[in-house]
Amino acid sequence: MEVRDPGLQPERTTLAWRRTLISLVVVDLFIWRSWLTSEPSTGNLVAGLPGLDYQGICALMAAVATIVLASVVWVRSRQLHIGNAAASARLVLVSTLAVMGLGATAIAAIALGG
Amino acid sequence: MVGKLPGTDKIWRDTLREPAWRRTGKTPDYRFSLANERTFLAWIRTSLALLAGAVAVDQLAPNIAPTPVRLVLCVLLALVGAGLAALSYRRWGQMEAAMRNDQALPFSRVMLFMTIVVAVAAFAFAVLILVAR
Repeated sequence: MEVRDPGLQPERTTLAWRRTLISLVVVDLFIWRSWLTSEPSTGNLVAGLPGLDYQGICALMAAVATIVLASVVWVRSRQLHIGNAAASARLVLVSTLAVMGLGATAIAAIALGG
Repeated sequence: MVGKLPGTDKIWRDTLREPAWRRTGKTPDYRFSLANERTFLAWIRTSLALLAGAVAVDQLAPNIAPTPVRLVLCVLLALVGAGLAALSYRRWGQMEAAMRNDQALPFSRVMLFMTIVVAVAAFAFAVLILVAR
C-alpha cells in the first residue's frame, strides 16, 4: 500500500472482524464448559469415542462454528491487508450462518443441561 | 439481467457468488462499504453477547429461578441472539442496496426492538436476582 488510508479503514475493519471472533470464542467456552461439567453419559453415540454424547456434539458444533468464522476472518484480513475491496456477500453470509449455527448449538446446550 | 435466458444452474451459481442486488447501481465508496461491514460486525457481536449471556445465566446461576422458568428465559434470549444474526445480514444487504441506488438508508425497527429486549431482559433478571435471595 503506497498511501495509508487516512481513516485507517482497512485496519479498523480487520480489528472489528477479530473482535467478533473473540466474542464467538467466549460463547464457545461456555458451551465447552457445559459439556465438561455435564454428567458423563454411559451410552456413547459413536462406539469407541468416550465423551461424544449429545453435549459432546454441541461442543463439536461450537468448534466447527469457530473454525468457519476463523477462516472467514483470515481470508478477510488478507484481503484488507492488500487493498480495501468490499467484502463479498458470500463471506458475510457464511459468517452469519456460523453465528446462527452457534445459536442453535447454544439452545441445544441449554436444553440438554437443564 | 437482460439477454438470453440463463439456465437455472447458472442462476444458482450466480446467486451463490453474488446476490442480484449487488449488481445494481454503482459500487459505493470503499469507506462506506467498510463502515457498513463494521456495522454488520457490531450487530453480530451484539448477537454473540446475547448468546453468551443466555448460556452463562443457564450455567453460572442455576438457582436464579425454577428450572423451567430459567430454561425458557435462556432459550428465549438465545433465540433472539440467533435471530439478530439473521437480521444483521439482511440489514447489511439493505444498507448496501440503498447506497448503490443513491437512496436514503432504510429505517429499521431493529434498534427499538433490541432496546426493548435488553431492557426487559435486564428488568426480568433484576427481579429474579432479588427474589432468589
